[in-house]
Amino acid sequence: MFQVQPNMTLLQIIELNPQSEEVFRQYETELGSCFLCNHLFDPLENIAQMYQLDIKQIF
Amino acid sequence: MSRTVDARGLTCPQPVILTKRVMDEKSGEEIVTLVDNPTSLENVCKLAKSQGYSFTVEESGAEHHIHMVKDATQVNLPEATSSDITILVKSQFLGGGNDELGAVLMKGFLYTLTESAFNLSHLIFINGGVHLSTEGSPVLEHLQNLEQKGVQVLSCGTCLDFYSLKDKLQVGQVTNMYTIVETLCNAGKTLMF
Repeated sequence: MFQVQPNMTLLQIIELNPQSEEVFRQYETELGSCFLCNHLFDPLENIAQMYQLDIKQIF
Repeated sequence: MSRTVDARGLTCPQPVILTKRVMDEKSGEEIVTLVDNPTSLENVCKLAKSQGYSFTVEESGAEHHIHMVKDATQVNLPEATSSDITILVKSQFLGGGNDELGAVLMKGFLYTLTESAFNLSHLIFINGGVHLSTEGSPVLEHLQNLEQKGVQVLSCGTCLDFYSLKDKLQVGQVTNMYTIVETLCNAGKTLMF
């Protein structure tokens, strides 16, 4: 079963689980920032810290 | 011969994902990705760099054509004969039986690597192995030596977190399981200790 690790990049997460793209798009809409454009190669934990998101909620 | 990825009209991350899929096929052909916005251009170029491709960008009106070729040292080399070696280090001790001896053996092993002419490309530390790339490790000098010679030194982030060593990394970069699997699968030869 696929398990997201906090140190995976957005690209890696979406490659392993294409459905996660929709989750990130929802966050983009809520925060008004394009994660998938600007942070595709950043680890999820870094993005969560940057935007003060609850990483467990993202999972 | 080249493979074309038409990513025009697509938004991130699709241009990157489609390009990566073609890269993963490892056909050795040139890849040309067509994009029509600057963000996709930037991200595809980042992907190329991260996957060891050299690239040039050709502008055609509002479009960008990104021509990517695998690093020259690997072009036309069948995977089976690639001499790149990746070493996966699972423990700070080499062998089992006595940890004191294991520490001495590991130090000797890494020193010998620095003096050898083998084509080592990656050194990956997981589980207890991350003690070797972090503060207090007796082999930091050897690892820094290897890194200066072009070896990519990677330490598993989950493992660093587990041992509370994340802010004590002294050499190389933090990595994750996806990158570890990708690196091992792409390696010419893999050794595991």
